Amino acid sequence: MRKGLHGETAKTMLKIGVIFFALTPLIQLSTGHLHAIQVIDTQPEKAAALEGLFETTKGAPLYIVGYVDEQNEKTRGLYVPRLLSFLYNFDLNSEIKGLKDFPRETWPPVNLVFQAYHIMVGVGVFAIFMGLWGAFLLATNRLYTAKKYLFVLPFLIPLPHLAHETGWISAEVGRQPWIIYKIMKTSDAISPVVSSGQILMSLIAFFVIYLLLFIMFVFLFLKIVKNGPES
Amino acid sequence: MENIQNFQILWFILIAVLFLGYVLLDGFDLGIGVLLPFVGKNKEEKDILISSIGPVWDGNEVWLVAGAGALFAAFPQAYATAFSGFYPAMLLVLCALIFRAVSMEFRAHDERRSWLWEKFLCGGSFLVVLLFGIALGNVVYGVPLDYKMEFAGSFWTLLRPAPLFFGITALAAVLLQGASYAVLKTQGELQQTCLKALNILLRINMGTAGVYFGMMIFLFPHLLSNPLFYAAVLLSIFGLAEILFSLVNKNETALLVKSSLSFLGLWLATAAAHFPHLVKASNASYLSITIYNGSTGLLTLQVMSVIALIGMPIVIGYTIFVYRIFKGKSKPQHY
Repeated sequence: MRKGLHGETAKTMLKIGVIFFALTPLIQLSTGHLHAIQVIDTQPEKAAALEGLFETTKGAPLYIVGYVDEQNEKTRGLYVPRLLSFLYNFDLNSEIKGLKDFPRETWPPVNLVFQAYHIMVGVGVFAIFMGLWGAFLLATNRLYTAKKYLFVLPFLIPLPHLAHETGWISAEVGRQPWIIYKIMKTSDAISPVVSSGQILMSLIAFFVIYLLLFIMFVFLFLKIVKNGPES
Repeated sequence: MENIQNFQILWFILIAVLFLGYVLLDGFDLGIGVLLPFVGKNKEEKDILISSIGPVWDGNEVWLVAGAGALFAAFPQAYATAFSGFYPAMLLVLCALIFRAVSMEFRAHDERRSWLWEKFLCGGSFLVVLLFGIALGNVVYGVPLDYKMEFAGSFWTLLRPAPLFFGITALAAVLLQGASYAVLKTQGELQQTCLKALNILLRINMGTAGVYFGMMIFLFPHLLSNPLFYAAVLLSIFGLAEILFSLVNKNETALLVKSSLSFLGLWLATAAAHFPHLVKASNASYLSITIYNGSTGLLTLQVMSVIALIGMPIVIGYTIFVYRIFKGKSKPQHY
């Protein structure tokens, strides 16, 4: 597009892409919001770990970036006061349970969960911004000539994958030590006859296979992109 | 109590039917995968063979997923023992399935290395069939189990002669399925090659099926008082004889049905020998996992029965639909 390849097809595809890019992160925002409320209600330990909240707080803050000091049970970083409570039920003073309300052996690894979750949310907010910017350019008829914006767009391709993976990590690590919440611990669910060596072997096998398939995918993908659509 | 036993027997039969659907349907596309380098002499012939299975192979593999899922839901003890106990073998099957699947796609897009992808397709299909056959052989023949229903052997335990012969019988039967399907879907010179392959495979199957039934009688003498076993042997003989007549009379109709009948015979004999076991213990019979001590609760079985009642007709319906769309001779185009 920037090089003026396949003019009309590219314009149509870009237009559709930008419209979806503006809408889907906003839909994600609302489902994510509802899901976060559900996690606070049903898995309070996970919710507390996501925000690094140790003490049960009325008017809990929302961190933009931060670091959880698990040893001293403190979270440091840049935060907006009372925003978490506000987002929970639109009341600046609502109470959010902290990790210290629960036995220590049922805490997940807090910092990992916190960081993964904040990367996901950060990517989401960035996507909302970029999507709306694209929509603004489209609405004011400047999209097809906005060189800088079009240059940046291809570099955003990995971002949704990053958000998926970090979101997945925060959800799955956040529910530890339970494999079935409050019913079965992960340590009780392992197969006694499968050795750790076998697990390692299978992980390496999957890693190698997916790496090979990914290289093959990129190779064929670039070939198809180079050839372009049939005009 | 009697109520739950009825459901346990029902689910033994249903899982047997699901896996039967898998071995018959995925059987022929796996068979074509293995036969590819032997009957396809040039790129065009290989294209025809692959496009004959292209639209259907993944639908066929759904039967495997459904069978394993049903096994997990109905008989979690057996599922856990087999899938954890045979872990390295299952991993190998999975890798083979992955490489087989992608090789069909990559071959079409990456022509310079098509020879490599054909090797993966052939080797992957071969491994899948052989290992599934060996796995079935092991649960039927018996593996060492401990008192907690856990597998107490090693990877090499799985490769004893009797289970290995299950694998070889499975391979022969699957190749026969593949060759029968190939004859239906091809014409001209390629079809002549496929007919030659079918002829050779028919002889091989007469041998393997014969030895297999003999081995089953030797291992499980109680089969001799089971009418189902005699029906199974007759079915196999009938199916193989019908293929022989077809070859003599140069009549290609319903070849796949005839081949499937001979396969069904092998399957029925295995089910008759195995019932009511799921994983037989080779060290002490009271340690075996059966449909009675390995099943889930009554409510789960009842819910599953309702789901199966709704789901099975849909699956069978769309399977028939797909095969009707793609019936007739295959062309060498990428689907």
